[in-house]
Amino acid sequence: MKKIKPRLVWAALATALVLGALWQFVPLPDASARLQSLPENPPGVQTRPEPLAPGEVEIFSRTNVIKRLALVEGQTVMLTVIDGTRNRHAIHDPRFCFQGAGWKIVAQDPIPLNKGEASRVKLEKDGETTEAVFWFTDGVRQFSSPATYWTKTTLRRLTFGRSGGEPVLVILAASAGAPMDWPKLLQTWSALGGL
Amino acid sequence: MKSSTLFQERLAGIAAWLYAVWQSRDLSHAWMDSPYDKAGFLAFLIWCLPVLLKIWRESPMRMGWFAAGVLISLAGSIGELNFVKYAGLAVVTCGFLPPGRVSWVQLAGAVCWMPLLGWVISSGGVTAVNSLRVITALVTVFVVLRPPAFLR
Repeated sequence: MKKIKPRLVWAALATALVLGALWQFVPLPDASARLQSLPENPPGVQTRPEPLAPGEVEIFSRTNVIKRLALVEGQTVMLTVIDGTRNRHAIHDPRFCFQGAGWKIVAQDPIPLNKGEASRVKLEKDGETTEAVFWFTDGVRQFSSPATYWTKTTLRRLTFGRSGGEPVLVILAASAGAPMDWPKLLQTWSALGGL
Repeated sequence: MKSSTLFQERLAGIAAWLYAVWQSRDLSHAWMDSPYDKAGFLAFLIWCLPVLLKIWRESPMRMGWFAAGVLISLAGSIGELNFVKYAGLAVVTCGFLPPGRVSWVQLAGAVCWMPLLGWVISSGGVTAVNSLRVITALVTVFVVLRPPAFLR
């Protein structure tokens, strides 16, 4: 077998440095237009902006974020929408984040949306329970699989954005202990389906 | 093996490793901030032991692995996919081992320090994930340093 020489390693390194540097100069279209198109107070929904917590400011640096407290037909939820085009690593599997914050996932089931599905998780911590619904959307399809999100975002970066729109993460978190009627909430707040 | 050739191989390997480490710098945040990855750095140190012990021997290194690891790291960097960058670091690190089947064991064992492990089995709880990291690292080191006959 022919022995591979160190020259090959140096060639790979040079290629990596040049390509890595050049890739930074190709702008990737973000999803800010989709985020801006979300109406603040659509019929049946009242929202008010919420400031990011200090930890969130750091985690969500260089991302486009919407954080709003919403009242939807008597149900209060916190909406967070994150576009990670400029900082893909700010977006994690929400279930992993919930567990990292000490919540235990006691149940999880899909909820149908207009262009796909979301995932509803029931959480428990110190005898307290709550619920959250999350999904990713690229404007064409909604899905709740982080693996699909990673695949789509990676493909997008490798193809300079030609593979489709940037998927954004949408999270609706209920107050602890509050009973939720998610299908009704999502039906009333149908503008979320347009993200 | 000529010492000048060995020096050139080591130099190329170290340059490749530094590139892969630089690309994987987010690991430090995961190891410090994520409860599931707290034992990741310890697991990484343990996992590196076979390489540290064997790098000083005058055995050939795997230039193909160094080059492949660099290109995998690049792919992870462009695609912004951390676990691909970490896989690149693992491949480059394993390139310091002499040719043999144990390199593949070492490579598979790299999962012990990757955040991916915590994500996959997070439902097992923080303690279980971190314990599994250290146990996997120790088993990997044991198998690589004292390989069974079929791996030699």
